[in-house]
Amino acid sequence: MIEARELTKQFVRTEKKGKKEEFLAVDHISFVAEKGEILGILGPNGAGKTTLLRMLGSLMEPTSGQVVIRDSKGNTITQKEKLKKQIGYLSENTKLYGRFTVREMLSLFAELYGFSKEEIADRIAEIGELLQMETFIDNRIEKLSTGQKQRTSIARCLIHDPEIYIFDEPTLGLDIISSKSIIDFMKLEKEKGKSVLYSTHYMEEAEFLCDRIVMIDKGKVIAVGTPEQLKTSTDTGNLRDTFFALIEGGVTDEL
Amino acid sequence: MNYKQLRTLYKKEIMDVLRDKKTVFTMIVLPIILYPILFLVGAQIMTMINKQQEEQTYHIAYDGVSDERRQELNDWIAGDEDDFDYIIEEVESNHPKQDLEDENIDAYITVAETEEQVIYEIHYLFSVTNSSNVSDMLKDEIDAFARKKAEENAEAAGLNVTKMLYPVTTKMVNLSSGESAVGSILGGIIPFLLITSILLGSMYPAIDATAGEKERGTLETLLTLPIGNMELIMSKFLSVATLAVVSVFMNVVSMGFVAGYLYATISSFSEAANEFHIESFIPAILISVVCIMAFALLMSAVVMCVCAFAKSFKEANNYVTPLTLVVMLTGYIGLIPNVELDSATALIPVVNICLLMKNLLVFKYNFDLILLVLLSNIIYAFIAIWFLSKIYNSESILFGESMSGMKLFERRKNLKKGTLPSIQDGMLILVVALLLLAYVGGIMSLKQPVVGAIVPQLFLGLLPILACVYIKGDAKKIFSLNVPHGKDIVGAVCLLLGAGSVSQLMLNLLEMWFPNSSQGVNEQFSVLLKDVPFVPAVLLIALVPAVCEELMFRGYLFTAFRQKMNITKAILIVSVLFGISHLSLSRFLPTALIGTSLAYAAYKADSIVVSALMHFLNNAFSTFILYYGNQFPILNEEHSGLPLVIGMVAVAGFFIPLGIRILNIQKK
Repeated sequence: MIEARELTKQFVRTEKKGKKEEFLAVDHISFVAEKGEILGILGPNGAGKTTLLRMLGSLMEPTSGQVVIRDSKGNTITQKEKLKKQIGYLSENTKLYGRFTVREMLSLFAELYGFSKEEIADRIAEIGELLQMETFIDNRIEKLSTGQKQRTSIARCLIHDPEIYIFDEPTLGLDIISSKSIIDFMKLEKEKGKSVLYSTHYMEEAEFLCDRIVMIDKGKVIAVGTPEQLKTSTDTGNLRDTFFALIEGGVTDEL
Repeated sequence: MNYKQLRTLYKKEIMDVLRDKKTVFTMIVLPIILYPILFLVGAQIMTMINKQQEEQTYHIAYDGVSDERRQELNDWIAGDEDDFDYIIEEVESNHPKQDLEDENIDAYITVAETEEQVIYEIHYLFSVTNSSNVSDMLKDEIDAFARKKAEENAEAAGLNVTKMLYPVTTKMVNLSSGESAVGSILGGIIPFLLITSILLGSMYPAIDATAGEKERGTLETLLTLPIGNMELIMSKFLSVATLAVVSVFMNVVSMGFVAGYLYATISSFSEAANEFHIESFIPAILISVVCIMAFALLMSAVVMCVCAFAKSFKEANNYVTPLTLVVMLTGYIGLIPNVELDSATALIPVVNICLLMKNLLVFKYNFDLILLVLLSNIIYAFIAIWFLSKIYNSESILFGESMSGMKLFERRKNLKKGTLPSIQDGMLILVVALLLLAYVGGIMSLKQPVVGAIVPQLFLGLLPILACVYIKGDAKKIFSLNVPHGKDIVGAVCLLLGAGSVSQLMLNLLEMWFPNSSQGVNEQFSVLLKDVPFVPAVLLIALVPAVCEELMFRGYLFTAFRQKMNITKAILIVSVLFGISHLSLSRFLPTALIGTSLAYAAYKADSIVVSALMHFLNNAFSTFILYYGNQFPILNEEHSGLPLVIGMVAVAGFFIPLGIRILNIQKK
């Protein structure tokens, strides 16, 4: 279980008339992603999705508020390094080390998560089989195809068997087959009882995948609920229309 | 610090960098092939040229010279009485000038004769190598011939040749050992080569580990790991430093082989080289290696700091280029005679390493200075690493846009009215103003010392005004052009009295560490103002700086820094810059302290008029002392001892709090 408690991030932009202007990229957002749940984070560009997920992944310090994780034994964790051990974080910005082979990179990461040599070998063998990476596991990452890289990224994310996955637009720009491998993976992990936080622009994908959706705009939560609930409350037939109905006007051209 | 993680991260960094072909090339391949090529191929070419010159047959002609004289001179040139091995042959020429221009002959000789003297005129072409060479040879030959003739004449007249012709002569006696002679030649060039190689060796790994990682998009991946900021920075720093040291090592080894080869070659055919003991350089080399390593740490940290601001390899390269130029130009210091390592130069980065190596190579071991150089490099490296850790904590640099944001580089029409300068804008005009100050001031003061002192000062005032106009800034706001409140002036003067005392006290203390430094400044002024009466001098030394420097420092720069940081930090940074801009190591602290009081008063009074007034009073007082100081013995006594110190402390202790209190009184 991962919980956002009043998470807030303030940025400073120096714009108009040279005045420094403070604005809240994320404005007191709270929600909980339960075990065995895929929680979708939806919103237009600039809504604060990436900042929110970076704070949840402990990549960024919140200006105020807190991230709380409860691990499999029910312990509450708030310390940064320990939080990171429970989280598998994947975004379009988390690229791979092209000069390493898949095996080298996975070993390095596993080592940094604190695994022993034997554990690492076992874990890589296991994941290699799961994601069918045996054919290219000893190739340099820069030589891999997009699909193979995507599988390596997933492997990187789950090497430490985290309780929580945070995926920031993981299927952006991928072909159908690569997207499917990620979607299948999320479903699989959900069934194992993991929490999955997931942001996307693809409404159809969100509609059939997410158990619940948090809709955000301008840093604030504007709606929370299952896709069905959201559709009913706005009286719309699909999530795409729900989205337009919920966010304030003037952003339609961004999509 | 989690050492296990540090080790893993270090391994990762080294692996990552070593798999980059560019780095491996500059670090390992380049030194291995570069020095042998530079030295050996260079030496080969030199010997070839020498040989060619020696074996060359030169052709000369005579124009209107009698057969007797021709024969005499030809025999002399061909004779064995000199050490020359070259061959000079006479050829027939009917139009020697034309033939010389067509390069058919290398020179021709005409003779002018008076009763007492025969003058051989050697006609040659300076622009043609062979012609120029042969003219030198002919001159030597004919000079020797002339001496021979003179000796014969003297002898024929029954005179003592030596007494008549050579009553005085010179003989050079070089007492320096072969080693130190070699060392003094190498002392200029080796530090430069090593510094360049450290720079190149650390540059690519540093860019790769910072901007490169950002550009490849792996930094965010790295940040998902449960690793601390310190482990991240230390691993990157240690790997860059390791590679820089390896690069130095490669360079030293490569240079060593070349030196060894040259030594072996020379000693095989030269007696002199046998007196030369290469072993005597070993202690110098060992100490150099230790200091060079400390310098490599510093360089790595500095280059990383610069690169950390960049988002891409290209951007990082742009940032590193000015640094490279500065470091390399500073590296030339070893070639400048009379710049010596002392307790002041030992604190200046790059300069200290160059001068130290220069000293070591001529066997000057001053262990205090060696220690000072070593320590200062290590301390600077720590400061740079600390700064780096700040950069790696800053989310705006890790995730945000790059550091540009210069209003001055934006199109004017895109700027809105009332734009405030960014920090980068401020730093840019400060650097430009200081460069103008150094170059234009330097050139002008050669011709017109007084004008040379005023005009550059004006840049400090003019540039911020121009910049303010360009960015369409609100001058009143940027330069705090407000009429001051009466109580602020009183407070400011009190503060100045206090700060001035502390600053003077510091100067006195520093005088003990850097003797004669302030004396030097005063002397410079005395020379400059030799013929200037007091009132114009006050205008020159007090009024112009008070206006111009205030516009720059408490005006433009202070406003720029206030945009991004709190008041305390902004005041301190501007004051440090103010201190640095006065370009005197010993005066840095006192000047920065005065700067702090000026900035504080300007901020509290919200008026630059207040700080300009303080600045004027401060400088006017110094000018007064310079002119009339000798009429007040108490001011002129160098070591007035404890009573003066206590007096100054008391003045400071009373006036600083008083000034601050008055400045803080709420306006009605």
